[in-house]
Amino acid sequence: MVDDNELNAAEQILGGGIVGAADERMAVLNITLKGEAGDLPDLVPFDATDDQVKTWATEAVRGGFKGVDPQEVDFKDFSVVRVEAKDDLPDRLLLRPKTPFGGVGLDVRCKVPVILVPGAPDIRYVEVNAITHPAQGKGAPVAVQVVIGEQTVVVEAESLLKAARNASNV
Amino acid sequence: MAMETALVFDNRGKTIYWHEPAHRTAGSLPDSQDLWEVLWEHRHRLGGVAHTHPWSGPAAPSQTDVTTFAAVELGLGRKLLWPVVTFSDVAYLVRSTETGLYTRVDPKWLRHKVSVEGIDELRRRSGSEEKSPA
Repeated sequence: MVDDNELNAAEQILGGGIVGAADERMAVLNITLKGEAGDLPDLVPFDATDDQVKTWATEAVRGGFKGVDPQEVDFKDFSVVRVEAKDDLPDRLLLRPKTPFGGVGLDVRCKVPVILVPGAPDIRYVEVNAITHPAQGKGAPVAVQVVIGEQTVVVEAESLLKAARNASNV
Repeated sequence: MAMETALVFDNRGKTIYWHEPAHRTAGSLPDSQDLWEVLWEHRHRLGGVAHTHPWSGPAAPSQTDVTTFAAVELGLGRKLLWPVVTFSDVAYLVRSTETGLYTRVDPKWLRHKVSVEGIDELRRRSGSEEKSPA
């Protein structure tokens, strides 16, 4: 007699598709590509990593499935969105294009003396966005924006930027 | 305070959606399911997405921008117009069929002449009427 665990292990060893443990939370994987969208025929683990999801999607799209024609695709600039079950819809993972935009500037994440940030709460690290103004050229004054949780503060640039340059990366 | 802002427009340049999400900053707009749902819903009449770099100076896309342009076009299966807007310049970008790179074009030479009506309002929503911190 073979139990479920042995079967699962055997399927994983044999590469028999996407296998979740019997009590694992599973989800529908929906892929949007070239104006089409479709659900993978197999469920996938809801808590799978983004890299795992993209690997499975790449393999599935290579073979094609209902709603998506067979093709070679690189999903590196796609985002995985996890949607909890709701209104008779099951748990779902949505693989769709990323949508962030970013200004032309210097992004640094570093330790900064919090004393330089007016009104900063008692925290050890802040995230610093130093945004260069391209029209002003090299060596020109730089506006520095500090993001502390939900709060954003614009700080006098020069002293904070010096601190950022000297700080060790987090 | 200056904030990056985006605007989704249709293939005649008419505004469909203002994108002013929580957690936007002067240097970034975060990944957004809401924005993607707007793009997908209107995909058949979409003209493009404009966004600001909220300062005065030449407009140019960042690496984050161009990888987002390419990803969205891959998802939708079609090319779009991607204006990058500063307070003093607009770069109208499309992907070159020959090189695959995003290239600045004069919008009047596009096959479908597009005049994006919301550019001035986009600048205002990005803080163009406020004093620059620099």
